Amino acid sequence: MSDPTQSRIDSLVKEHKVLLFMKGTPQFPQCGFSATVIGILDGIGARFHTVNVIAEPAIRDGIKTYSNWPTIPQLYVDGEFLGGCDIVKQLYASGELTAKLAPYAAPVVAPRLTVTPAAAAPLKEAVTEAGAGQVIHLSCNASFQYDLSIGDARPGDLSVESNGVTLMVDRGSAARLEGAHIDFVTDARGGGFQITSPLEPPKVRALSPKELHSMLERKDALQLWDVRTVEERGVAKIEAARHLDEAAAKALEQAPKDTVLVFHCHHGGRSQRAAEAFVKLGFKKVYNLVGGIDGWSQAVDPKVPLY
Amino acid sequence: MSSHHPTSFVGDPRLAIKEAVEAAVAGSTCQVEGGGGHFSIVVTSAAFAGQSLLNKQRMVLSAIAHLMKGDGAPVHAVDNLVTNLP
Repeated sequence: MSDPTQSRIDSLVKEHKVLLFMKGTPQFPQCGFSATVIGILDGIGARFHTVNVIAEPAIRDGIKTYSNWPTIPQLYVDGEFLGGCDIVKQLYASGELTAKLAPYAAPVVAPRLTVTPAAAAPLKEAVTEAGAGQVIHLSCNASFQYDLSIGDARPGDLSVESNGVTLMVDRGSAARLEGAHIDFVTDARGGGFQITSPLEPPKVRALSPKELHSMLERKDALQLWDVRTVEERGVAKIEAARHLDEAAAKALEQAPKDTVLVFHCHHGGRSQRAAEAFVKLGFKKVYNLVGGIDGWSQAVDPKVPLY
Repeated sequence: MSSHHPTSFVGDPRLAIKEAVEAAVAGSTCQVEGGGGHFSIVVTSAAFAGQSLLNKQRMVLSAIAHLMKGDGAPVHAVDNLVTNLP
C-alpha cells in the first residue's frame, strides 16, 4: 500500500479490534447514523475506538476506497468490515453483533433495582396491555438520562425483577443503574415515573420561583444567594437572599457539602455558572432559580421591581 | 427526513439512482423514494442469491457511488436499503 492514507487506515484497522469510523465523537456525534451505531455499541457495553472523519478529511475520503463503501459510519471488528448503520442495526437485532463483540465487552452483572409498589402497578398494567412478547426496557446513558419504554425483547439484555415487575436493562446501562429506584410520583402536574440512581453525579437542579417560594414558606433549611452586583441589588432584591461577594463565596466553600444552596441572578445565567462551580466543589444539593429575580417578580412577588 | 443538502446535480436524483442501479445489478428492478439528499431504495434481483448482507448492499451502493461523492452530491444518505430476491 503506497498511498499513506490507505496505509494509515490499514494500521488503524489492525490495531483496534473494534473500530468505528464516524462523524463526530461518541459524546457528540455529528450525524444521526453515527449516533445510532454509538448507541448500539454502548448498549452492548463493548470497548471501542473511534476515528472522527470530520477532523480527518483524508480518512473521510480514504476509508470509502479502503472499504469499498460510500458512506460513514463504518464499523470494523477484528480487522473485518462489518458494514454501515443499516447492517449494524440488523446484526444487532439478530444477536450476531452482541455475540461478535462479546470478547470486547466488559463482564456485566445485572444491577440490583427497586421498583416501588406505586411504580409496579402502572408498569404491570402497561406491559400487559402492550401484548405478548413485549417487555419493559430501562436504560441510562452516560449523562444519566433515564429512559423507560416498552418494546420487543433484545438479545443480550439483562433481566431484573423487583416487586413482580421484570425490567430489561441493556449491558451498557447496567453498571449505572446499580441500586437505582423506580418510583411513581403524583404532583400538581400529574403523575410520572421518577428514576434515581445513587451513582448519578450531582448536578445543578432547576428551581422554579413558585417552588422556591414554597420552600421558603415551609422554612426549609436552605441558603439563598444573590450573585448579582451591588448596583443591581440596589434596584431590586429578594428579601431572603444574601449577597454572594468574594468573601461570602470563600466562607461558603467551607460549609457542609449537603447544605442546600440556591443561587439567583437577574435571569438565571450567571447564577447557573455559580451553581455549577459549587457542584464542582462537591456540594450535592445545588439549585438555580429559573428566570432569576425577573421570574420571581413575575411569578411570586410583583412588588420586586423589574429592571 | 426533510433536511436539505445543497447539490449542484441537475435532473431527478431518484431517476438517476434507479437507472444506475438497474444498469449495474443484473436483471434488477429498483424503486426509489425520498428527496432532499435522503433516499430509500428497494432493489429486487436474482443476482442477490447467495450473497451476504454486506455484499448485497455493496452491489447497490457501488452502483450509485458516483452520485454520493463530494460535498455537492445529490445523494447525501441512503436511509433505508432493502435487497430482495424476485
